[in-house]
Amino acid sequence: MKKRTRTQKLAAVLLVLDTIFIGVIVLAAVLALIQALIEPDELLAGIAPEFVFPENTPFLIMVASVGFFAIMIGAILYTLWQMRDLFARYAKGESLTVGCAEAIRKTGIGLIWIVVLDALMMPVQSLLLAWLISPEAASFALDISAASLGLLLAGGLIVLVGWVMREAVDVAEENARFV
Amino acid sequence: MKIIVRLDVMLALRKMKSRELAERVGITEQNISLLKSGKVKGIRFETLAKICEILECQPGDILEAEED
Repeated sequence: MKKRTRTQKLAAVLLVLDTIFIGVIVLAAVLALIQALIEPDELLAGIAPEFVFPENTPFLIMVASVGFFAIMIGAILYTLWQMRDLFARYAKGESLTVGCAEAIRKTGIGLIWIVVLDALMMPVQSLLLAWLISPEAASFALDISAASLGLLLAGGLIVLVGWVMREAVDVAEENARFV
Repeated sequence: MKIIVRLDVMLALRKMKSRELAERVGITEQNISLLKSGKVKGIRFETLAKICEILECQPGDILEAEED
């Protein structure tokens, strides 16, 4: 049996960790959704304890909150899934291929989406809550932390690396056609 | 103008099989087949030098320029 390289060994470990992490997030999301359906008041208290909600608000808020939550979880799972795909390819010994380049690019795009959604989620949710309770007082405030900017840059860098990898694959394939 | 590979002719003259040439040059038999059929993008000087050494010939004996 061919000896595994250090890349393959590390990729195999990261693949397992990533898969476990995906499982944990899915489980947590399902449990949170069940709790929201069973105890919507608990969900509302968790979102905005200081608000006194008018009639019919709970259902709308719940739908919006679950919707935002689902979109955010979707972005996180998408990113983790692309990383998982990349780790699986590296673990198999695949490196300079179109599949790897695409997985890198998509991971970067996923990270960018996570940052954008995270920055928008709370302001949009607060705006919706405020609009439902007191439309004239509703306002939109965007807060972006240094960590978010850093993650945004990291996501952009990873997309760039994915593009460069794609060009490297083209060069490698061209080179392979030389004997 | 295109380059024609006459490797099959030289192999026949030297009574050598593609597999033996591939082993001695250090490339796969598949690459030798691709080279014989002219389906490669190019050949490295190193590979060409080894082939010429093994077949005791000149590059011009293997490669020929032909008008399209």
